Amino acid sequence: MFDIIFYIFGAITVGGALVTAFARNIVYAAFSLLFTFFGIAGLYIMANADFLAVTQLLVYVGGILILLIFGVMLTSRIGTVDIRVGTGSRWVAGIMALGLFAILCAAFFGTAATHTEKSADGKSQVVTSWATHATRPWSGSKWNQDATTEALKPKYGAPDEVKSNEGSSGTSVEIGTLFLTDYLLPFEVISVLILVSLLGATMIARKEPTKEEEAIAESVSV
Amino acid sequence: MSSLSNYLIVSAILFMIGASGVMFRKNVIVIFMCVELMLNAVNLTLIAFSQFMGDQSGQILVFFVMTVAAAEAAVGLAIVISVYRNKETVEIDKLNLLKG
Amino acid sequence: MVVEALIKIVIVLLTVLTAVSYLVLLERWISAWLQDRIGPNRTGPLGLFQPLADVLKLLLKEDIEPSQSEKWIHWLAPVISITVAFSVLAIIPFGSAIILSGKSYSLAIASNVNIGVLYIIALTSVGVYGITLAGWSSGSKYSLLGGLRSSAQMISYELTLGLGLVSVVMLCGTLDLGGIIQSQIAGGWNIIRAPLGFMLFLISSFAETNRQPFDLPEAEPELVGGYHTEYSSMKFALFFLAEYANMITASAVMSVLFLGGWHVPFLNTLGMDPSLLAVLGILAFGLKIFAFIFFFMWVRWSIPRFRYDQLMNLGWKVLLPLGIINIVITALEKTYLLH
Repeated sequence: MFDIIFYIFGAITVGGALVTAFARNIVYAAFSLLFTFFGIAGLYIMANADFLAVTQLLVYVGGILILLIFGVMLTSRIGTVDIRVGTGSRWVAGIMALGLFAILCAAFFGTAATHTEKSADGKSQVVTSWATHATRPWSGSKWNQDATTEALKPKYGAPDEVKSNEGSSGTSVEIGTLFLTDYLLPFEVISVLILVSLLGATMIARKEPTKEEEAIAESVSV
Repeated sequence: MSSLSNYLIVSAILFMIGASGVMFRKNVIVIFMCVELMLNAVNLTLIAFSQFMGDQSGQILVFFVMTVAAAEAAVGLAIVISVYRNKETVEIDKLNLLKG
Repeated sequence: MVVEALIKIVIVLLTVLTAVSYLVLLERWISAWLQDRIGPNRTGPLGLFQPLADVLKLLLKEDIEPSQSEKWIHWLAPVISITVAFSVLAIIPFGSAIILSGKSYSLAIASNVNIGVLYIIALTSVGVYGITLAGWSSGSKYSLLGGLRSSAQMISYELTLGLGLVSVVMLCGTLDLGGIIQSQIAGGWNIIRAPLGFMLFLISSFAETNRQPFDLPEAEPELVGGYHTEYSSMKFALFFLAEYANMITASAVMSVLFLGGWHVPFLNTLGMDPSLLAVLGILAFGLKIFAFIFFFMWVRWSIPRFRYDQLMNLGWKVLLPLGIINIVITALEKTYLLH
């Protein structure tokens, strides 16, 4: 069940991304990005990151994509045909993209992942595992959770630890606590960044009004 | 296969599509979209690892990436709009004024 | 579990769809009453069959596809609108949990969504797409202008909506709608605890549902019909449906967030049967929703439309600063008054 839903969301994400990157019609490119963002939000939910999934919808779908669509509306006409670059660089680009994919896969599956966990006697220990053969319970798989926890109980000997990750409390409390403790400075810095970019964007996109326009604006405004 | 590797594969594919889109396309706004795709691929990796490690700090990082992406989209689109106002085009190979 | 959810979905959908069709009739009656006319009274007794006649007419009309339109998106836009309008209903608690033969049934389709408030904001932001894409895909300048206006308007007022919500979240300390109601039962309704937040939320709800005085996306005198100029037949009906469904969801959300949802003050002191209390709670919730809807309609037929720059000024220069001030006020209130 978990697998099927994962594949559905994965297919939506990848399919949307393909259309976004390669559709000739910019309208469809923007629109299919919506599906990609939705698919990714779904994948987040399956990884137990419910708070982030909603934030993903809020920020990407409600903010960034609307901005992009605004950009499309203001800079192109409907049905604009977007012709790709010449064949020479197309081949190079394709090969580079595939090479990137290969490097990423090699990095992902050639690197051991370590994580700390408590063993039965309460001591923390560092466990190394390979991403391909991860034995840690994937608590995102709500559907076969019981099966996983059952299967892994003997190995961990600390079922409480596993269970703490899967309750319905969600991640919002933990994230909020982290923001106001360990990550307080980055949090403040990033809010300043937002403010600066807001001002910058307004300054750049603003059209300098001519004298006549200013006069008209003054006479119109009540 | 574990769920982690599933997530990593989806993320790698997404990153590849985004990167090739940046290289293939000429329209600045489409390139923007493809950059967003790549950022999303990275976020997906972070979330998958955060879940795998049982550590919420990865999710915090995703927050920061999202914030920077939002700021980038706002400033970037402002630039695109002002470029369009001057040049009446958003095709990157026509914006070659510095080439002389 | 799944069956329970499905039954709830069917009940909610049927109720809301019926309510929507009769809200259209109600709106016409109210407008007639406010303008000293008689209103629809020909179809059936008191004109009660008017909604049926309307639906039949819309179904039988020709579905016109403009030649310059983007077919797929043109078709999908009303679907997005209606989906978003109904999705919010999934987390609304329509009453306190009912206990039937020893088993407790919660009256929300998805109860205990611990990010309920965020879910509402996220869906509101998705709602922009229905109208924006409709305006864009129609290939008509009136539609495009309507779509552009709607996206600017809805994004601007989403901020105020969110800031109004923040005060509720601060007071209640939870993002779960059920928890928000419980907190209001314990500490008084939020309309008393955060009146400014309520005002902000109410005003931006008008903008988010594109109702008068903020119905600029469809402003008939300027834009013919705005984003749905090029729509006809069932696709137009879907937009119509979405507008009224949005009104219901906005009213329901406001009732939950500020008027205590299904809570009736002092009722539990009378020592009534719990199941009777639950039924009364549902009725009270319905009444609160109805009051809000009546208010929506009353305003629509009383107040003229805003001009576009006035709308933007109000949103950015008045409501947004007020929203930020409101957060400070709420924080002070929470620190000094409520302890």
